[in-house]
Amino acid sequence: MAERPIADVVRRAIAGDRAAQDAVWREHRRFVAAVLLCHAPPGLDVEDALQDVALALVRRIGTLADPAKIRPWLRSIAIRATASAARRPGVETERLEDAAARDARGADDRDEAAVVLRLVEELPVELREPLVLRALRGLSQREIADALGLAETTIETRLVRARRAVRDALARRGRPTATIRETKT
Amino acid sequence: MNDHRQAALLDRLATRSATSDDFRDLAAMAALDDGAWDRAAEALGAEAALERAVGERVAALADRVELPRRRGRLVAAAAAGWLAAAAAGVLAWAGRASPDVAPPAASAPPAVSGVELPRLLLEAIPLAGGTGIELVTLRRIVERTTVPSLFEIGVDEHGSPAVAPAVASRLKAPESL
Repeated sequence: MAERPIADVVRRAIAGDRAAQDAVWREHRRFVAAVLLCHAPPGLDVEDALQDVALALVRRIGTLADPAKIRPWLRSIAIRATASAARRPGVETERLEDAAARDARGADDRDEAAVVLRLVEELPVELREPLVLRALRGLSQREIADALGLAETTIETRLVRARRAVRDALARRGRPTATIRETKT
Repeated sequence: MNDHRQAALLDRLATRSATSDDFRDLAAMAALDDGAWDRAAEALGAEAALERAVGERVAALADRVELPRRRGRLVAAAAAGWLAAAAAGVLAWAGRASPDVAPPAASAPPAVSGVELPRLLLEAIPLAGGTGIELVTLRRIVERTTVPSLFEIGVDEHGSPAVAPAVASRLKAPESL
């Protein structure tokens, strides 16, 4: 969705339009989920935290002064939600590599996805977050920089470092680049 | 081309944001370095694997979570001078409001329309003389109140009470207020 329509929808959501709030949530929930997964400490129920953010959106979007700041606003709520949810007793461990998503894939894909997610999870959060947000597609480096409150050049540098780390690790494990090399003529 | 520029170039290739200049740079790099194509293929393969893994994981988590429906309580903005009357309205409401919905308070005193509904007989007590009776009845008067703005009281991500605007037209049954 283009920036301008989204800004209009956010404005309506701030004014209390429930349909607009639904639209804002659907447009940003993957972004929020990615932020949660990147910041989730061990033992956090990420889906529970995601529902907390959804509830906070409904309750507090009226306090958002600038519609253009919807992503940083949601991100700050998400990061606080990880801290809040982590304090609850009896939470289940859930990180980037999730059992439900893993079971939904075939054996080969499952292995590859599990390896990639594990490698991403091993990155420091300052590299992991821009990499995961970029991997979602749809978000430019500038948009990621705005969401994280950093310079675009900083995001570019972090992405280069993160990708290099993942690529090198994958190459050491022989996947998936080995497959590509075999099919290349 | 230094390592950082090479890496940035490969990243732009992998994320399909490479420009025509980038492809010229890649061709120039490949002319001097036999491994350039392999590195480009590695970058593309790694990015595809990353996008697939992250995309599936995030979608599996996010796409099943919708905004909550009416979990909070409904209240209205009350003018400072009319809080007492609003409180009386709350008491009158207590018997019929749903457990999670509070009655609206108003910004101005209710206007009495002049219509009075039939009284409800609560109790009839014969008088001591045996010729009369004492009746206890409930008078019901129609009032019209304007509530300029509605707010929801819910719980924020910290578990603390939080207030946000609500849209009256989107209430399930606004007439019930």
